[in-house]
Amino acid sequence: MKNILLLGDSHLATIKLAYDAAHTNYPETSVSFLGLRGKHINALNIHNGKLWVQNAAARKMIFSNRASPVIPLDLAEFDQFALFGMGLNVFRIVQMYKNYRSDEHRFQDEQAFVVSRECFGRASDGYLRMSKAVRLGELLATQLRKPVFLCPQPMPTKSLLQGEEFSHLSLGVKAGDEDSLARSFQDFATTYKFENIELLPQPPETLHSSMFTQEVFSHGSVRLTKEFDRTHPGDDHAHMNAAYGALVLKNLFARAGLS
Amino acid sequence: MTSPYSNLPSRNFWKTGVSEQHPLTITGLYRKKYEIQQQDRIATAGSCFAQHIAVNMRMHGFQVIDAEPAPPGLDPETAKLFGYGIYSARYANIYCVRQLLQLAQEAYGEFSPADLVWESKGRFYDAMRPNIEPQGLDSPDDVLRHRARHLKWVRSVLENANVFIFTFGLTEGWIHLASGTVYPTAPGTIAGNFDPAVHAFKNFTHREIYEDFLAFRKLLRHRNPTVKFLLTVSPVPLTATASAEHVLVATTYSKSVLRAVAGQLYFENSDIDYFPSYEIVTAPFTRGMFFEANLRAVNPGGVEQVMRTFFSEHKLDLPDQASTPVRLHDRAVRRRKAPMRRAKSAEEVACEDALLEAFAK
Repeated sequence: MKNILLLGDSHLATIKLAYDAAHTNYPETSVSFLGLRGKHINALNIHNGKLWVQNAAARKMIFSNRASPVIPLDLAEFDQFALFGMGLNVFRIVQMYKNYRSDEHRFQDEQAFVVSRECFGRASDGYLRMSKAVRLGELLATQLRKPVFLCPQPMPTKSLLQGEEFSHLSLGVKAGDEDSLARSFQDFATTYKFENIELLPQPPETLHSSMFTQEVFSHGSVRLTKEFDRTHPGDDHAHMNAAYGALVLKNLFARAGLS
Repeated sequence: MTSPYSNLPSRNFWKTGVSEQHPLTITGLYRKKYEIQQQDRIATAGSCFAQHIAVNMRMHGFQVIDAEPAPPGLDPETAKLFGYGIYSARYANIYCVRQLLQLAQEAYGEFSPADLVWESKGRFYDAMRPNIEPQGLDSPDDVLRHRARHLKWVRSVLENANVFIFTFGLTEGWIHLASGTVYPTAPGTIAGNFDPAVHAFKNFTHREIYEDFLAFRKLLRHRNPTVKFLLTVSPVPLTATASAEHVLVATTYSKSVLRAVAGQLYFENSDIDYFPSYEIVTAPFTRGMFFEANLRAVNPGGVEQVMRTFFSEHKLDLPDQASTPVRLHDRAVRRRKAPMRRAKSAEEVACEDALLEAFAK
């Protein structure tokens, strides 16, 4: 029996639902889930081989399928770890694109700072490295010396472009910047190297285009709650459903050699 | 018998004002001409040594403008490589006053630099700030586009500053003969090609520097009538001279001229203050203690003493002194705390001038 710990933010719900539907396929694997929604994820820390949640408010919000108390969680019992979402997402690139454009970008806005491709690339890389997923993953890999898999947050669906907040992206996509923005994210995924860490890209069959997930995968996405009884609002463009989770899980278990 | 010296304070006499003082405890070297308020927006520019001013003023809670902030994700060291966070915009080091004047004139369409795009190994560089893109840009058009956008931020700095702090660095420069364009470094040092028929060495005189600064002041006050100025002279000697003199003689000339210009501007104008960073570091009583082993770079102790003297006069009463750089961008740019680390020495600051050492035989 192998033990794997799946850690994540709200995107962990997708994986949990998929696992519940398919767990009989993995009889030789014990899967533990531990998740925290939203900013509470920042309270997660790893110290002396244990997982800590550093504030009381976040501790109350922990989702886990493990018997209580779960914190601090001794990580030595696990053989492998997988981290879902936790800020490792293309939104970081999109956020940067709001104020910074490189020479590669076609949508040039007078209010944006113009930077070189090299500068944009290095900033993208640094910004993604600042994500909770990467920071926590590196702590896990360093302290536990066991395999860690990073599963980025799914690309958003294209309905994202309808939101006022992303009007700059909408104009950028119209101007032809989608591939370039997606590439900034993919470049990180392909060049990131850290001992014992493997970054698993989003399953290509879930993509509509280079930086958008097919709308069908966002239908019926569920919030990370104990009961899994609340769906995300209809205009949610970031969270995906169990069908998406199943593809990620299949990929993860294959890479991790779990059965 | 009375003498005009008889009632003067001890600071007026070399024996009591200098010989009997320790460079770390001396007081009264600087008396501010005007108050810098907490709400004042401060712009900084100048030669390498000026880089310490922005960092230290932010650390002490002053509102230093950062019109071109680094993208999120660039660590402070990498950001510095790209010219971010060093001055109030990404104009890099401005060694000569003519360079400063030309930048301001260019920002308002009154001057067009010649030979603006330099090439090296198929990459293209902004000749007026060749150090800010370590790998250069893809095309000459990219350089022009970057520069046009940069000038927009330069205008915003000039128009929003309440106090403009400028550090005089050099009298020596390299110019484009036909247009008079002054470059921050000789063509061919970082990029571009030196052509003696096109480019020439120029050692600016007292009169030229004095008039250039007054022209800059006039241009700036036309757009920003209440702006005040604070001048300093960099204590860092020349890395190399292109004049016929020994580098020590050339340095003395250069610094003397700059000091004299700063002094004259200070005495003649109520809106121009002078801060003696040059004297603090180079005066005989320091016995060279504020220089690194190369007798050129100012060591951290020297920088600290300069800034301690400055803050003894300009002090804000704040609980948490470190301030966030003032953004002039009209969109919400992610705000970050200023880097809290001082450079280890003047050599650690971004300095094109130091590159000339590679040419020494």
